[in-house]
Amino acid sequence: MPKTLQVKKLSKRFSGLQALSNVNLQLEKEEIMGLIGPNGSGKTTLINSISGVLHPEAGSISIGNMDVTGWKSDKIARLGLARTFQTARLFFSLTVIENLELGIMAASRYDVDDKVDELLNRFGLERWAMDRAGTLAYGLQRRLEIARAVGSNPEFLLLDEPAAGLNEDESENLLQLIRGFRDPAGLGCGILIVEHDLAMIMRLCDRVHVLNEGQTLAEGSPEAVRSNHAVVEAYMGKRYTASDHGSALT
Amino acid sequence: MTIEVAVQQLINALSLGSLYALLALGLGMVYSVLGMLNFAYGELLTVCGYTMFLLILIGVPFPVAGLVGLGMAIGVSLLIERLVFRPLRGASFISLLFASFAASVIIQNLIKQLISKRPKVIPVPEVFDQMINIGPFQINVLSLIILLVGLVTLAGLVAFLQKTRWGLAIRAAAEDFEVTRLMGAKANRVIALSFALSGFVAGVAGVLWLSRRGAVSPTMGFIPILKAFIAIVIGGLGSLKGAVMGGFLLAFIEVALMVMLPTRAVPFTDAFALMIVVVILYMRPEGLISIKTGS
Amino acid sequence: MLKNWSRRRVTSAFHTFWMLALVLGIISVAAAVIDDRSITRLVTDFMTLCVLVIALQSFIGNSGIISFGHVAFFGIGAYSAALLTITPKIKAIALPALPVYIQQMQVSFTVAVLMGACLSLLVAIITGLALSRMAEGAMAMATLALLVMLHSIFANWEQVTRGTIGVYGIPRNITLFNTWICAAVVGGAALLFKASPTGLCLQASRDDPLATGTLGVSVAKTRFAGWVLSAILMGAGGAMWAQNNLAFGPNQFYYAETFNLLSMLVIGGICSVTGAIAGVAVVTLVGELLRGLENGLSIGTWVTLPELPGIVQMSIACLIIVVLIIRPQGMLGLNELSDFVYKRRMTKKNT
Repeated sequence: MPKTLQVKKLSKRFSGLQALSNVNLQLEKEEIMGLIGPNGSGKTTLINSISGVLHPEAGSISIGNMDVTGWKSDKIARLGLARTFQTARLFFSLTVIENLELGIMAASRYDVDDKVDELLNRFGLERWAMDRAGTLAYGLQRRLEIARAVGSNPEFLLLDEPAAGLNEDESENLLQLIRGFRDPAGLGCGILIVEHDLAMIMRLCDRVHVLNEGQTLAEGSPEAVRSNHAVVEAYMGKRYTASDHGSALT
Repeated sequence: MTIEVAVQQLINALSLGSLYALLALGLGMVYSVLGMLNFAYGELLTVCGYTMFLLILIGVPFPVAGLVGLGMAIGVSLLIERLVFRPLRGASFISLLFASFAASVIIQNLIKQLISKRPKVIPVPEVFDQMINIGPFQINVLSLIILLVGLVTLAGLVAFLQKTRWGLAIRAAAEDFEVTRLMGAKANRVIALSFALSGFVAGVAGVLWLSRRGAVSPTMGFIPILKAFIAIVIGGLGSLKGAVMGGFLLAFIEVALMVMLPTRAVPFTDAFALMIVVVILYMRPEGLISIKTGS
Repeated sequence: MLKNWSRRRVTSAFHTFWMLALVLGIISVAAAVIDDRSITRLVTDFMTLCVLVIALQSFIGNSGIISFGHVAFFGIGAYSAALLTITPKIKAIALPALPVYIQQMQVSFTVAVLMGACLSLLVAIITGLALSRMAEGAMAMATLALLVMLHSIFANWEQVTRGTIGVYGIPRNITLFNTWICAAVVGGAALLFKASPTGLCLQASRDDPLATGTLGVSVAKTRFAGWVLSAILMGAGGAMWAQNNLAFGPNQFYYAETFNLLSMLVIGGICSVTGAIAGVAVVTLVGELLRGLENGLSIGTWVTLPELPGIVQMSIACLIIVVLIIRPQGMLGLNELSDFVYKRRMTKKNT
């Protein structure tokens, strides 16, 4: 039976602010789910809660038949969950190779040197192999972070705004890469992606989950979400008419 | 233990606590604004102490010497900021810590060379040693003075931080180091102000500390910085409220141990106190007040 | 688990190891050839300091957490070596309260060093369990607490340490050869640790503990491993030091020594084993050059400079600040000796 990542009735508050309330979400393998919503709607908080960086007050998170609510991030990661951060959080004083090694080690089922070579090749990072991560250009840093995250062949991958700060070519490249991760011939992992570039979300995702002020606003196929009134209102304000929706969200 | 003794010990603990709270607040102020531990903080007390020592030697009365010592502590605090920490703005936590460590060694050695290597006695006003009777309780005058001065200074600082524009700027910077960075040119002034306040607190604490000890030595700053460091860590690094609470908690632990430990174990009081502190931290790794919010 | 070891990093650690061992070896041989008492002493001091600073580096450098507590392990090593090597006759007079079997024991240099390491290991396990769970700032404070706690034990446990009077009569077991071996072995251990998967995880946690956790690495366990390893090395160094210094008291394992060792590490570069050795070399040289000034210097017959106690310590403190401003990562930065050779080879290949 294929594993699923399941989030049930998740709530989290920060000193008076309800960051998440009662969020339900289910991510299958070989599926890309987009997570969108206005700034401060709780997208990053959700990713942080799933990956064990934050601990929710209520609700549960499970991977397969394992209830991981309240687990530490390292234990969750060893179950096959990888993530990236909004701003690339690399090990800046370590080399590209060493950053990749750290991604691979958790799985402890690969020969680290061979796997590093494979990743360098697949992500086109050979030229910078011996450079320290802190000296790389921003686009490369983002690419390295993704390479590091998939190094352990995770079953679920959470990407927090992977395209932020990338130019058009780089974004297009990224899109192809992410499709490859979903592909059963590649990693076959379930991917949850937070992104502001809605055009990209619409092209990439199988399903889209919309958050607003910590609550689920809508969930469904990209087309269904695009024509959802509540979603458009949350994004564009109430004065827009239905005919404007399409253009606003594509 | 009779009720009289209990009340006396309570006053002792409160008095020691307000001293530790002051020390911790001064160290915590710079930490919360800049994210650095200033190890040279203990030397501000030393500077204050030696200034007083020299002034009293030439016949200046104790209170005046205290005020000048206080001024010197502020001055030296600002000087260290300007000469050591400003060139290192943006350096890592550990670099700043080493730099302050080095600054503290430089000050200690300057005092050794210019004044003396040996401890010197400071004559404190005789009234400090006397006891006064309040109802059925006999209370040491110095403990009472420390308690009062400590509380007044704490209240004054809180008022300054809460009510003035500059206080607000410091609190904003303390909320988040990033804010300090975003302040740009104004940041330098806010940082300098936090060093000045830190020096002021160190000066007040220095005068009180000396009144208790009655002597100065070049390495006298070690114990106060240690207590302040422990207090801010138990309180939760970066929280000013936590620093004050941590100071009082540490004092209560120490006084309780001194009362309860058998005579044979008295030399190990510090070791026991630290053990308790470590246990507290083991159970609450973030300290009493955690400032971590969100991601 | 061997799969996680990178051949690349182990190889470059090995290159650095033999180069460093060679350099230290040349220094030892040169000292043996010159055969001057004060030079031999200088070199054995240097090697001992190398061991201590490398031990410090293996925790602080990899974890990025400052530890004030390592000098306590240094003290544990030194006291255990003292108790195990002082002749039974002296022990009977100086430490009559010791248990009989310890009083009658006398072991060789190597056994003393190993025992120092073991005792340190024991204390490191107990303290490490509590420490490794703490947040970075709290951990730094707790190490300082450890220093103060152990100092108060050294200074007050008179039956074993003779309190503030200190112990004396340790035989001088140290030679140019065995200090060189110790320095090389400890250097090798630190380099191997740095190249190991655990060492790499620890370095990752230095840059970003949170991200390290999300990669499936338990930061607490990793820090524990680093803490224990460096305590073992520190204990060994302390045992060596005792047999080089012959008499000592508790105040030698306190604030001043902590500053002394940390300053060498900072000047050389905390992230580098090569840097640790370079730092010891620089501080030792500065110390030797200025030592004359400290005792007052006469130039010709007319000019006499006054005594300047503490000038060495002060100059080193100034040097730290200057180094931190010019090269915040210390002289060697993030590099080991092999990086210079290796990188050059890489660039040759590319052109």
